[in-house]
Amino acid sequence: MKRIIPIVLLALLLPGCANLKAAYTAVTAPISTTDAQKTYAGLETARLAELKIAIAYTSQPACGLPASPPAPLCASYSFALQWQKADAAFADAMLALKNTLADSGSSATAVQLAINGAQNALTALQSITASYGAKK
Amino acid sequence: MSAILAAALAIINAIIAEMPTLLALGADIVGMISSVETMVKASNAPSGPDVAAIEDAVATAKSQFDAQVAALGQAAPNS
Repeated sequence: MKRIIPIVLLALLLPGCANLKAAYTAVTAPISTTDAQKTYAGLETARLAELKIAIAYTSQPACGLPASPPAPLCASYSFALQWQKADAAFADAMLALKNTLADSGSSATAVQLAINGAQNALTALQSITASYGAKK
Repeated sequence: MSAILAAALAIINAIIAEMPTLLALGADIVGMISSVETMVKASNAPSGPDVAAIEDAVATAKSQFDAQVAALGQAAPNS
């Protein structure tokens, strides 16, 4: 009988311990405030850099007009539209990342997927900038 | 032996009697931890003066870029 009492007590305590462990694991999920802030700010800063290059490009005279300067010194509307679409896709990815970070129910995996999505969109935007650079 | 059995049963009965209290306490603890978790995750939301400044700069640059693209489309839509 003496052996049964501790077993009964243990059986009563174990579910509570499991709940506490699950809650502790959730609290210590590998998402740090600093990392999340830095990642978001870093991606947004990269977008600002791309936008500045795009602004410099589109501030040039339009291509295709009689008085237009040659290709590297003029701006193509179709190319600017391509740039604009890539930036819009990046903006959407950043909004998704921001919402994921703000959602208290987001898992570490969801945050990582949102970061990957934003990074992929940034890579696409940068490839367009690089192709503009190649034109020069 | 019957005295030991009676004592054991008394202890078990006492524990069972206190089970609602223990469960409520456990739920409170889990609730508190959950609240902390919510606060930790909510604080992950991008905010603060640095992020706000970058977002403002991006919004300004985006407006300028969009205006220039529109102007470019008017000047030379087929370029």
